[in-house]
Amino acid sequence: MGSDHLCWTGVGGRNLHDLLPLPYTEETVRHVAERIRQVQEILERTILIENVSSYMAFRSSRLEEWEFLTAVAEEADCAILLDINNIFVNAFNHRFDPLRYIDAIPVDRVLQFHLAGHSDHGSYLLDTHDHPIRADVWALYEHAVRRFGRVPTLIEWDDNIPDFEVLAAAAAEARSRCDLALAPERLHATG
Amino acid sequence: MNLRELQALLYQRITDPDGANESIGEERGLAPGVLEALVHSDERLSAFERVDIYANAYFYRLLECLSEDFRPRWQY
Repeated sequence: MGSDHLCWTGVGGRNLHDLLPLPYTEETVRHVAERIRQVQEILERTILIENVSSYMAFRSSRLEEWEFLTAVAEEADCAILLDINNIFVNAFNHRFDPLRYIDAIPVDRVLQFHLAGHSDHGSYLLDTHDHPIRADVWALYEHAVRRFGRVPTLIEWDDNIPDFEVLAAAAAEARSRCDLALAPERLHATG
Repeated sequence: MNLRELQALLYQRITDPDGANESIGEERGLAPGVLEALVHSDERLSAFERVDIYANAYFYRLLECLSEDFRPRWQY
């Protein structure tokens, strides 16, 4: 299963080595979806597109970020990799309700979650993958699990990497929180 | 402004060795108000400050690459 970020990284053959946001418009939906379809045709499989963290938003946008992500996935008929930390970071940076974001994403398209830690710079949050997962992000993860079910989850930690025991504990916490979030449903299902 | 033009403008601002701040933008011939008309701002961060986050990240990434490539030679 392959995935890529829903973003742009360069122009005119020159690369910025970063994940930059796109304007959320119907034109961009068509532009990106066409390219995703080409990739899927060549690979002969469905790929996942991942929401990125961002620090700027464009005045030309006509869709909310979650509407844009959904529109691209549906137009390209691809799956979604939902980065829960990125939703939290963007909710702070662009002032939206992260629950509204998660509740708007189509359930059947989400095939993987990402979790990570971020840095608080006061006026903005930076997606640095170098901290433990924050409590607010764990809470958002539980909300996502309740909506999307038991989805494979990857913890991203690629700077200031701690001892393996700390990473293993974070993975165990993800499993535990997933179980907890689904417990009422299991109890209901078993009567 | 179409998508490619927007990307080209942001590329120019992000990779400018002096950063994305407003005075440098004017020195480089960016008409006043252009970036503000493209990028949202609020009381926390101006449009220039938001683009500057990417400019800082670009140069820290370059420094990191150069450091990884050349540090072993400095040790000799």
